[in-house]
Amino acid sequence: MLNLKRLIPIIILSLLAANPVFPQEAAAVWGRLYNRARSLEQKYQVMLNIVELKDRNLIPVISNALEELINENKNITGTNERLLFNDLIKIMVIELGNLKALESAPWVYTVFQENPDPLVRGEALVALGKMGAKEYAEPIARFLRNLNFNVAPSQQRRDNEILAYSAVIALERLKDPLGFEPIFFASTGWYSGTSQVKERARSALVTLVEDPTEELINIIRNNSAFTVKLAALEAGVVSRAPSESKEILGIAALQEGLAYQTKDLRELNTLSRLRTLAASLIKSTSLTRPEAVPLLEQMLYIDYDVNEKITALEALATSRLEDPVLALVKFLRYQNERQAGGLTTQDNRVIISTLRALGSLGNKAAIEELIMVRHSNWSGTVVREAAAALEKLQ
Amino acid sequence: MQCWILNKTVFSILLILTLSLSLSIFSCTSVPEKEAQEETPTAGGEAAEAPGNQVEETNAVVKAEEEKSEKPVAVSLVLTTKETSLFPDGSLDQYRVYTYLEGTGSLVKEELFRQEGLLVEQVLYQYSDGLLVKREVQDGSGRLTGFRSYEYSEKGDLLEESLYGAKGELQSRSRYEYDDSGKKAKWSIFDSQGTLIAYSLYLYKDGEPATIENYSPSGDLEESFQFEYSQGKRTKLLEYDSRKKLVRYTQYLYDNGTLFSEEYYTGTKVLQRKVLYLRDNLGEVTEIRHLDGQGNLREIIRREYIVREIVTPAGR
Repeated sequence: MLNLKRLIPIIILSLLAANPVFPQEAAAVWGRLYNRARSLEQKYQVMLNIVELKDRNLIPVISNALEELINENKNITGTNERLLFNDLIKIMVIELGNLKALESAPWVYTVFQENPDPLVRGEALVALGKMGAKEYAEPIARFLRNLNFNVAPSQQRRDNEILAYSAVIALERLKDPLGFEPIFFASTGWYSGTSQVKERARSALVTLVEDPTEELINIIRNNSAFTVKLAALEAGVVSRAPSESKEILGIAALQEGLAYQTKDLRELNTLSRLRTLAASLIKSTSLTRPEAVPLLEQMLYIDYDVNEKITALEALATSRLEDPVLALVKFLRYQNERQAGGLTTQDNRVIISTLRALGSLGNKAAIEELIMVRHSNWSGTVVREAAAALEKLQ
Repeated sequence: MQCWILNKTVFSILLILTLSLSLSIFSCTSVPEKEAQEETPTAGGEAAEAPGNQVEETNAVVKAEEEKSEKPVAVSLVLTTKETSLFPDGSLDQYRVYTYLEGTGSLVKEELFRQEGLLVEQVLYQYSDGLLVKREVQDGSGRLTGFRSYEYSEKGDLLEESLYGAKGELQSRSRYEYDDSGKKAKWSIFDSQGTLIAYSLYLYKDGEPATIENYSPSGDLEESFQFEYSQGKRTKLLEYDSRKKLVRYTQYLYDNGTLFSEEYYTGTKVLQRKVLYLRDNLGEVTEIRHLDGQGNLREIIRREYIVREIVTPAGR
């Protein structure tokens, strides 16, 4: 069992051992000692003590020290000296970030710009984010955009991955919409799985801005690659945007998904996925905007994937508007006529979904066409579904 | 005033210990809840800043109780389990998780995680004969980045503290000396070569820290600090340069005897920053807000804690 006399010191020392003196004089002493230190070794020794104090009173000391080191940067020649120099810069930059020392941001940004070590530069980026140095959001966003282009030599790829990861963190913390697009392209970019850049970027997209709809629509409309359009829509699905914004995004994506023709099988598949996901997003928002109806209706007549049609039908069925009923009746008539004309289908899923959609909408405008199902040479299952839908309408 | 000579019930001891421990955990900013303050009129958190003193005071409490009772003593420890740093908009920056040895209040591990849950730093504490002897810092991948070692007198007073780099190379060393009453009297700092580079002297009045003087190795006064008190609570801390010119000062503000704010001013009375303390209904600090001189929120720190009951053996 523990002795109480021993117990208390354990707790207190364990929590405060790094700072067993009054913080005020410790800050003053270490600050003064740093200023007097001549060699890099001495400066590093003192700075280790300073950063452990985690004292906001020392922000000017660290900031001034950083400025001084930046000015010495070009005089550092030896490898060991450079390593120590970078270690020193790094612990200072990290601490200024932890202390959220916004007033030190210009020096930290200078470190990012001038230091050759990607780890140091990366820490500087993270620190700028932690400080909330919003004035640097634009250049950091531009920097990440350039990294996303991957025009650097292959031997720089690892370094660039470190920097991209840090830039994503910085932009995420700065919460500036300017950062959204480069982070989005980082999430779909060239980065390796081990770098975790893409993964980090994907999660940053969710938290960066409350409603990224505008940025995502710009990406969807302004990029020719269908995979990019699809990725932007996927980002919108998991975003924190309100339902009405998600519906607008779904409509924009659906417009794009319907606007293009291609013979490339992979692209055909991507476009179909884009349309299906867009319809699914509209369905989740209960279709409140009339401009979505003709787009969803257009999907019903594309013979590519039955699931695409079914999703469009389900989306139409969620609405309280009048237009979807008319579109569905028209589509049912089209199917009845084809069936009666001998163009029978082996897959009843589409007709059944149509009937169920009309049943759930409960609009009497569908009665006549539902009755026509009985006379259109459909199987017993389909006829029973039509009867069930009619029952709901009556 | 400073001596916690109590001749009351075990409950009083438990309460005071609880509060003094929370003081230590919550740094200089946390003060005891009202009832305890009446019995422990120590200025807000000073004990936490000077663990040597705190150790002595706490031991005094225990000693008094030991003389009185041979029964097992139960103590309630308020232990911080998580400290979360938030950005001004309330979004998460990073958090620190504290782990204690089962059944004790001994901190054994401190882990710092980034917002995304990535471990970036780990601090491990080692003890010998109940005293902290090593504090080891590792990066997120478990690579040692440095450590501190501690040496004590037979009484358990901290005598020496050494800071080492990742390869075990000495970076700096601190030595502590104490006066006859056991209060810290001197702090000397040596560089890695063992050369004295600075020292501080601690002067007390009525048992409370009154002045701290920082000296160069050659004995020139570099700066000094003076504490002001009112009704047993620290109200001001003034920092002077070597020519006795006021450089800056800190003002401590209380609400009903409980510290709720610290204000940091320049020597010319310009507010530089402010710290606000929010407490739960038990009086424990659960949120700290850091504001700049213009009143803009810069950081929010949230604290979670547990209360752990520990029973010591009879007659110990």
